[in-house]
Amino acid sequence: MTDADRTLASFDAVIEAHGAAISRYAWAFVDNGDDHADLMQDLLVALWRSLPRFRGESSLKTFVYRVVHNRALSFAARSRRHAGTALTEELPDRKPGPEARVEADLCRARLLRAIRRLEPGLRQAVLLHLEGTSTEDIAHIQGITGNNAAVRLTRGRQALRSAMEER
Amino acid sequence: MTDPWGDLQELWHRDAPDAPKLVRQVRRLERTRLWSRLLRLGVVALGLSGLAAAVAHSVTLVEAGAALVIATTIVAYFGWVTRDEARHYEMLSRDSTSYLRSRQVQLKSELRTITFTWVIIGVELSFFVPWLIDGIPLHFGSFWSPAVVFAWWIPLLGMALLLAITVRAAIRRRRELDQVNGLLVKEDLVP
Repeated sequence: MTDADRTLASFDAVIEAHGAAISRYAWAFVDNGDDHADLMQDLLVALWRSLPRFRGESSLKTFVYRVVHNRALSFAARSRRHAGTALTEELPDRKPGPEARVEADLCRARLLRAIRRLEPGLRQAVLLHLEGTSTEDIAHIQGITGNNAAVRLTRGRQALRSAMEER
Repeated sequence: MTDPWGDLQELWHRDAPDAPKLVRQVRRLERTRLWSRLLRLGVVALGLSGLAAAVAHSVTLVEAGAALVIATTIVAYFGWVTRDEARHYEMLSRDSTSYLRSRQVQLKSELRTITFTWVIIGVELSFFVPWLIDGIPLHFGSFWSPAVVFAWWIPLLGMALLLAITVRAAIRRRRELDQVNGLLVKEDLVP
């Protein structure tokens, strides 16, 4: 098996295990379908190119989430339209995005809007927690202490709760 | 709601895209990327071959020296871009603060390189333009003779194009740097 074959096989496994989570993660940085497709393209290529550099210094999950979060931050910083998203300002809804796809589910649209409004650090912690990641793993992914991760989570959850209660 | 967080998690997990579709998508992207890398290599090879042919044909030491400088610049630039790209992918798997700091350094370095390019273009133009304006009518009689078009207008157009590309690149990098600086401040503020 060549290195390229190994990368191919591990990439398939990564997408199988984390593809859905990556797609959900991307929605926290963009607000419409076209930008989501662009960002997904960016994230998948970044993962594909980064995967051969995975040396097992952290878990594969940590590696994947770090690559995805950092690339999404860069995408938002590069894009004039999404500069605000990265910096937590609320963007006006332009074209219908996830809200249209799940029209009946206003709750989910409200959740996405609330997540996009969070500071990047809090947003990452909350997204990872929503994906079922433990506080310890969140701390490791973010490169902070367990206490700090817990503080971020508490603040993030509070912010989400109050945003969800707003009508 | 008995468990508000559990309800949010359930809401969150409703979106589940098709994994095989994502794999097929990235394969297509990787093929495109491979072609673009081959094209880049081809451009470098073509540039160097052209220079080698010109040097083989030239008789003066000055022309050979100029060709050597250009060849070194092409190889150095290609090496820099390749290394920069590899470094970017290396840093992607770090924590956000480390990644953003490295991106900040990378963007500043790119902006410095662009400024350097502008200085070189400015210095070149301030030296060559008066010299050629005096010299061309004397040697060729007209500003539009084929020799002048190849020796002056085309390189000048190339410089103008380079200036336009670097201005666009500088605007984009400046905007990204401002965003990255803002994100770093926020990262520092959040515990």
